[in-house]
Amino acid sequence: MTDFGLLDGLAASFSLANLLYAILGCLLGTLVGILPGLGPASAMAILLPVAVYLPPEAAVIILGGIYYGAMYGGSTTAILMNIPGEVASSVTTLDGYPMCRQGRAGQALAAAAIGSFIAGVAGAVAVGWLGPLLGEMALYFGPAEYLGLIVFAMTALISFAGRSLLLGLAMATLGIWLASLGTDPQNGVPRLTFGSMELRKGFDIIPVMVGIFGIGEVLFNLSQKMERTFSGRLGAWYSMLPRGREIRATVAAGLRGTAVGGVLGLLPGMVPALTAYLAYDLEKRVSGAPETFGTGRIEGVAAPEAANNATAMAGFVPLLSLGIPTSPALVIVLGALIMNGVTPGPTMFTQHADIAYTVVASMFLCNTMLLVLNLPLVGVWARISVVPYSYLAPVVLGVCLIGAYASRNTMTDVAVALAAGLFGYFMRRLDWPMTPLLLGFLLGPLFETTLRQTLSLSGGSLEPLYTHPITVAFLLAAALVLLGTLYLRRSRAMSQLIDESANEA
Amino acid sequence: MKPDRERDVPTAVLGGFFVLFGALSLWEARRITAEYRKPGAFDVLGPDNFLLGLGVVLTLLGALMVFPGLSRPRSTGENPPLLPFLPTTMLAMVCAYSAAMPFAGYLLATALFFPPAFWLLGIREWRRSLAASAAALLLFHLLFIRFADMPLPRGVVFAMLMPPQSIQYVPEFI
Repeated sequence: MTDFGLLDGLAASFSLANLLYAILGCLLGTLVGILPGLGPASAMAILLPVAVYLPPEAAVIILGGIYYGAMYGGSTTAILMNIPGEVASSVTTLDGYPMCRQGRAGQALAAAAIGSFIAGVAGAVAVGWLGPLLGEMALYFGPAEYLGLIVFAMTALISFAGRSLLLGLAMATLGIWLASLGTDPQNGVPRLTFGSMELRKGFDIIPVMVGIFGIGEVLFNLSQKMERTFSGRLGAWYSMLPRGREIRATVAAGLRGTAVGGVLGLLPGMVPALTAYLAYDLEKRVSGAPETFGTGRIEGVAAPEAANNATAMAGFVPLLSLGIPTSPALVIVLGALIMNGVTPGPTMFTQHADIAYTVVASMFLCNTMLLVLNLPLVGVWARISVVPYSYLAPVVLGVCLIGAYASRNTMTDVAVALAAGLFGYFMRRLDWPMTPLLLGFLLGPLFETTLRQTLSLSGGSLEPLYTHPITVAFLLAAALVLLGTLYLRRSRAMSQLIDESANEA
Repeated sequence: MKPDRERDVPTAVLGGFFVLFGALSLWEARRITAEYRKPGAFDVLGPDNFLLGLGVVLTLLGALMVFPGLSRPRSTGENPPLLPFLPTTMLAMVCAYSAAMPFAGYLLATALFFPPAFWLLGIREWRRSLAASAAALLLFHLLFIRFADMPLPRGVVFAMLMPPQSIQYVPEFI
């Protein structure tokens, strides 16, 4: 498999089946981004039970397509209706909606698409280049280094997760606790099963995901009032393309946004909304005329859209090469890979090179599709976006239930999904952070294994945590991220974005 | 506490649950130690001590969530109920749907779920509701049976109607 490279991945991604999955993922993702009450993580969680029946690369292609597509779809409603489909598109409304009101909705949509495309292509190149490099470095990781990495990832995610570090830490601990329920994988000892054979199997990831992100999300949306109207007029798609100064400005802003989102997106917990805001702030500074932003500057649309897509793409680097997801959506991609028997990590680009490079190549494919397909279809999306939620909600609930059952063919999983759904509702309603809970649940077993192995190898001493340089580096990085987040929260706007993104599904 | 902030009571209640889970873990860790820990059976930490550590952390964090606890912005204006009518009723319907599935089978249970669910959400015209239900059922069939080939519950009723020797003639759509 070491001979399999990016060109082979391109060839594989152009197979008829993978092309269809990519189209399906992109269309579903755009739909998800446009429709009210359904975010990319929700849609991915809902489709996870179906995706596990597909080959691993197909599952990642379709879930990835949903992820990138949702970023694009969110910008459509942000521009046309001043309602961001995703929190990541909230910054896009600042200049996108004024452009729409000036009759330049088409140019705004095109700028968002071009910015996202630039980020998508750059991101795919970065994943294909950085992923194997990082994977090679990670071959030198032992249990202590992995423990340090997990602590860093969880600290970063907790820091960016909502209004309180205490609450984030508590949720992460709860996630680890829920994951420990069942049979201890190392010794076969039943834990917290209370004699129940069903509980010995532990909680499966699918019912928990579809419960929290699917059922919980629907219940929350039913408790809110959602109204969407679009009364604008869109011309033919070719009239939407920016020209002259506007296209140059779009590309330049897209490149700057990509750089911001791509670098920061490597950090666990760095939410697309935050990188979008930082990219927008950078545009204002480099423009020389910051007071004009908010009145319909095309750079104000291209840069944040590029940044949020670049963040989404960059997250695949630590996911594929280290097995560490940096966002809720990527937690689901990790789940899909694990359920297909593929464990991302240092050997991903060697032992599973066919899957890894096909996924990288599909990023080019999906982002190109999103650019080519969605501009002509923007009128359709605008009409679909006003579909009442009353039609969508029961369908989503039905899909969630059946998906929860189908993972292990047991009604216990359905009960778990319902309980997780109720808890997910309370989490959304009361602003309790979801990401730390899910990451704790998914990484909990790895955290336990690496901790136990580290202590076994050192005879019970914590010495490796302060003598192994890589471990020390990760722990220091965790402390820096914590301090950095506290600093960023001094800005009310950033604090609000972090809080809103914490439970975006 | 600042005048524009109030005590976050729901989070304090959650903290109480964390204390409970923590206590449960401590009790379970002791049980595992007593029952399973023998020389050479476990690694240095072991599943019992890991659970013990988790229990201590959960209890501590839960206690901090209760006292001193967290605060949130003081609510101004209307304070909607924690469990409004619509999501509560929909949750109850979903629970009934899942309880019915093993007995009625996925097809019948789903067909019985959609029309009242659409009605509850405001689609009162019966033709529209039935059309939406039929479309949803078709989508489910295509997605779960045709595309994913999932083994979904057939239901007691259907199983009783089919004699054992004709099991190979079970219609493909179920």
